[in-house]
Amino acid sequence: MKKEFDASQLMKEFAPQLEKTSNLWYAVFFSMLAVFLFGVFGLYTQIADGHIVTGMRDNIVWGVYIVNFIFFMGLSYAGALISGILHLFKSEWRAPIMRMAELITIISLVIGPVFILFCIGRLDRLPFLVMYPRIQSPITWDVIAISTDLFGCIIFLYLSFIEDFAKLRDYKDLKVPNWRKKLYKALALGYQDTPWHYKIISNAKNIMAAMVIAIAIIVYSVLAWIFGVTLQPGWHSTIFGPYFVIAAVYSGAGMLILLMWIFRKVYKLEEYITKKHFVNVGVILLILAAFYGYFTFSDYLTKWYGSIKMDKLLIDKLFSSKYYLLFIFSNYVGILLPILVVGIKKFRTITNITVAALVTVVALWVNRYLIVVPTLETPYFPIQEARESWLSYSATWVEWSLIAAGLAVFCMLFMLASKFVPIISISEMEKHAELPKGLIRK
Amino acid sequence: MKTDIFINIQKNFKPVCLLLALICFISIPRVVAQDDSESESEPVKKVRPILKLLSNKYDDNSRTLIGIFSYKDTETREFFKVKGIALNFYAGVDSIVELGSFTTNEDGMAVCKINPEIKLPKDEEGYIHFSVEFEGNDFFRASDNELDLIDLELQLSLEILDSVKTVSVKAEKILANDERVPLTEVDLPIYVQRMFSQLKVGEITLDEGEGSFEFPNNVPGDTLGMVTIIAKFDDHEDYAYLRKSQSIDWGVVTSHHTIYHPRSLWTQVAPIWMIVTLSIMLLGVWGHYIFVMIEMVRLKKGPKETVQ
Repeated sequence: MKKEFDASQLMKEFAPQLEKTSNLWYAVFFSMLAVFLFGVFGLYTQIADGHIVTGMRDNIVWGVYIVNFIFFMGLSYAGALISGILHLFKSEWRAPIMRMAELITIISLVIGPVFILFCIGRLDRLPFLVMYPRIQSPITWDVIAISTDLFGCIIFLYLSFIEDFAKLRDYKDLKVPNWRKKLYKALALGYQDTPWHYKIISNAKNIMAAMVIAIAIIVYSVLAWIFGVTLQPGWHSTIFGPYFVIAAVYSGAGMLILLMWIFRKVYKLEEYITKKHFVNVGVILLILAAFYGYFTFSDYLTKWYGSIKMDKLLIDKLFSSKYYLLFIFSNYVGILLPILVVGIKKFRTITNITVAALVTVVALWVNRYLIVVPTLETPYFPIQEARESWLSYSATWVEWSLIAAGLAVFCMLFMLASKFVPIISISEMEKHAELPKGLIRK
Repeated sequence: MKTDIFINIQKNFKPVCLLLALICFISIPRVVAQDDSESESEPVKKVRPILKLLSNKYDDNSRTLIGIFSYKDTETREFFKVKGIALNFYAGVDSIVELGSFTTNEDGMAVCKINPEIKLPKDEEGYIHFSVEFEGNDFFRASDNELDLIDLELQLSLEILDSVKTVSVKAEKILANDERVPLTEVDLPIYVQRMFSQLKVGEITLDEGEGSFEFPNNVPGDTLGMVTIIAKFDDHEDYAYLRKSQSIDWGVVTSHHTIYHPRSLWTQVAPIWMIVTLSIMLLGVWGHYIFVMIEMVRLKKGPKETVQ
């Protein structure tokens, strides 16, 4: 029987995803909600008792909150870069994974900056950043850059949704509440499937794709410069900007593979997200792994060779004492595993690539930890008569609860988004997807 | 078989006996001599030390005698300073004044500060005879050394004459009976104290005990412009080491704090390049955003007739 690969057929396939909610969905969602509420309790404890409940002290003023901030921002920029590049290059295979990349961008960008707030002792002074901005301050750059990026990514994501909103609006058999139908209608902005409308949307998307690529690079470089412009051992590096960008895209590619695997299983999208997609994103992962390895090696080699006293102390901690296991995991396993799995054809299965992607994501989180904490434990000017407990960092349950809450919110927002719009862009599939042999595009 | 052996022994008996006799002749006397040398106890050979005597006269006219005790290792040909050696210092020839006994330190130096109250004997020509003596011990032979010096008094005055920074020196020999004789036709070097050494900036030729020198205007001083000017003989045959110094603000004021332009980031106003760069980037990006939003508005108000 000949299968027709058109919008109505796709709508029929994806409508149940929006109409019905399984018990498993509810179970997972409420589990995530419970984790989130536990994080809220942790936050309440932190606000009520002060930052003393965290592992952060006078020496180590940043901990896992900043690590999570960098991690989520990295995911966000990776999503923007990957979706922007795939859009501009008009890759035929991109259609099923574009929306996931775009959702990674927005959701991570919403969650990431919240972790900055957890680090701040005097939240009441936060408005001063806007009221009395100093352009010289990297923190001001970051505020400007993140808000610009968030705005741009929302526009880009919305543009990619408009055509699907129009299809949801026009699909008469969609069994969703009326308010949602009205919402789809309003959000579709009167889009019709005409060349005039398509041209406007297409131009706008091209512009925004280029913008989000540029902004993603700039914004993540700004984030890197917050570290790079300081004279701290391990941070004062000229290659921190590109290093951070590469690391971000690397972790984002890993996260994209994970989400592809999850949604493929949950919504049974085996027909749309095939092994080819995993291999293609896997190849991107491989290339990024090589670049990331190169930057890591280059950064540590120059620091090690320079042998500045504090750099050497830091490198000793990373290479041979306190953090060497984490360092090996982050910078050896996290680089070599994806290269081996994707590089050797025999290992190139969906499961293997997903496992490699999972290792990559965890390794990159650890990498950010190794960038932040050991440096703060190796200051140029240690505080005199500092207590022993101030000189090393260990995250407390309060911090872990908020980290878990962040990941829970990430999952919940993805789940909610998948209930509001098809997780695979119907319009992209209709226009750009490679059709299975024998199928025709209407 | 046995018969053959005996025949061989008989044949070779004479040469073998001669060889044995020769060996005995050569070796026995040596063995005897060896026994003789071991039986007699030869006294330990003492080392001949090297004893030097130096004299330093400082700004406050105090004088210090320094005895340096060392020896040369004959095997390694290296010189070693010896610590803990008692040296006796004296002044005078006929009427000897004991200046004291002092022990050498790890540098082999025994320092004798001469009490200015002590009247040092002088000969007819005004020379003071200093000597140092080591009495000897189980390892080193006794040794001594001596030095004949004339007591010289230097006066250093620094003043600006007609806008010229002038270093003036007055030098007088103090002979017997405190007779003062001006030093004449002698070149006295002038130095400026630097961090690790002394920089020679000129020389004064003394005439009738007096001389002057125009101090250069380009000598770097400290943060207040202070320099220490030194007139000295380093190792003069009649005066040994003798110095007179004085500090004055004649140097060029130097600052060890390098003047940097203040970091622009820490000023009230951001640097121009930063404002320009940021403005271009923000205008570029937000300009595109606005354009896209206008396009979206156009989409909303799009021509209905095109709708199919």
